[in-house]
Amino acid sequence: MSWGTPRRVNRTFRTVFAVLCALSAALSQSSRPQHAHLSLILDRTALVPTESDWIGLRFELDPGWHIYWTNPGDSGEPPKIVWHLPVGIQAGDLQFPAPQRIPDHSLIDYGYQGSVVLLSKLTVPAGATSKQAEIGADVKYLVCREVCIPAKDHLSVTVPIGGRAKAAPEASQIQAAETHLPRPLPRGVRASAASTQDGFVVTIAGKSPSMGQATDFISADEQVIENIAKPAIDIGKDEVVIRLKKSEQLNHPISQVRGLLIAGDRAYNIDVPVASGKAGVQNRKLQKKVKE
Amino acid sequence: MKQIHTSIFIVLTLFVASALAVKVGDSAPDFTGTDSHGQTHKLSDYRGKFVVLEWHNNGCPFTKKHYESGNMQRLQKEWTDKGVVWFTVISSSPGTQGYVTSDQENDYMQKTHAAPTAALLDPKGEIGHLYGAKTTPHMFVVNPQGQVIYNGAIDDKATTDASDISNAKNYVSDALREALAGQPVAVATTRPYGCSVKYAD
Repeated sequence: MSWGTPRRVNRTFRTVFAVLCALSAALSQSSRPQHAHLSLILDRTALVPTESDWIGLRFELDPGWHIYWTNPGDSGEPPKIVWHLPVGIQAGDLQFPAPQRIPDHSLIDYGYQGSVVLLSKLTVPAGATSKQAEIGADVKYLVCREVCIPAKDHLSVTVPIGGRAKAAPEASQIQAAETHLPRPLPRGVRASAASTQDGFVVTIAGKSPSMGQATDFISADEQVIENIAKPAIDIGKDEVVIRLKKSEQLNHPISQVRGLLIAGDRAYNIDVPVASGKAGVQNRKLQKKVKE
Repeated sequence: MKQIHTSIFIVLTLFVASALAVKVGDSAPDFTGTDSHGQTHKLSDYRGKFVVLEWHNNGCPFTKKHYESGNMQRLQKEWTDKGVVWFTVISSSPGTQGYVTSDQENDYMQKTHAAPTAALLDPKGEIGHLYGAKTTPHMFVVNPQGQVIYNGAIDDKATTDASDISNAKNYVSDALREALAGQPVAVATTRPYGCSVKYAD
């Protein structure tokens, strides 16, 4: 028998296993994206000088895999993009739709599973003379499911400039992504925040049907709110009170509470100054009195 | 009776929950760990020395950033040369990323020229849970009196990109430098970054 003793068999298997491991490690380190398929999508078939258009960076993720929001939560890293644009064309900051809470062992991450489109506004100057533009992007991202894999991808799309711009086939995906972008609070609704000994109380005052659907608050800043502690939300008649637990890593006073209020399928930007301890409570009492 | 049991349970739960979170200024929870050579180390036996605890997972890209660049090994060498005790702690449970046998860890340390005082194998996550280690890397510094003086990230660049290391502010080195000079640690608590520690769920 060429396999020899059991020990040799064992060794052979171990060698084969080691080679396989090395091979898979080599594959995962290649620049070929793994577990995510990326593409650039546009909302119109052409760019029009002096106008702006959404461009979307779409991630289609394998089941169970996720990428990260701007605040990744307890672990992870948000994707980064470097645009390569023809002279004169500008791309705005990447805008992220509201993330999900993703449990990761004893941690909570903020990110996306399934598919997600990150948006950026492209603007074309008035005097653009070229007939078409090649929009390029280098994307670096971390994709995780139990384990994390750093990946990078180069994407490009060529689009005509001027002429008749019609809705592109992917326009509906861009629109869907746009509705999930954080928006300002509805008119007549105001937020305030106060610091307590071990947390923050954010009060959303004003009548709005959507506020009654509030289910979550996700901090935009790292190291401020304890991610694992889900906020306590009390929905009153015309007031929503959100109690947040301070992060153990927060060891200095903060001036603003920033984050997303999740209500139904919408996310609202909250960015409010923090009234310190007693003053904050007094303020809220005063507001109540005024209302009464 | 049932109520009494419930309240005892709640009190215990609170106690355990607060014990999990090791805060700067607390006395470092004592533990006995076994290293990759089979030797045991008791933290309190190292009173009188600074001790660094480094949570490790050899497959985590955030850990790889610091090992493939040689940054972690440089730090280990620099500080152990100055008398600091450095424990690499591996809390990955069997079957998860980063779990290693003693032989595998010794091979790894030899190949990567890692130079900690010892690599503690913690497959049950006992030391990890005792300190509330969240990520790899997650770093703690204990002073000669046995107090935690740093808890958090290795540096201020929460990325997997090795090119960020040269511009990073290394919190562990800063803490050690300040404490060795008899100064208070300026940045003593930060958000640890990296991969989740792969505890047995």
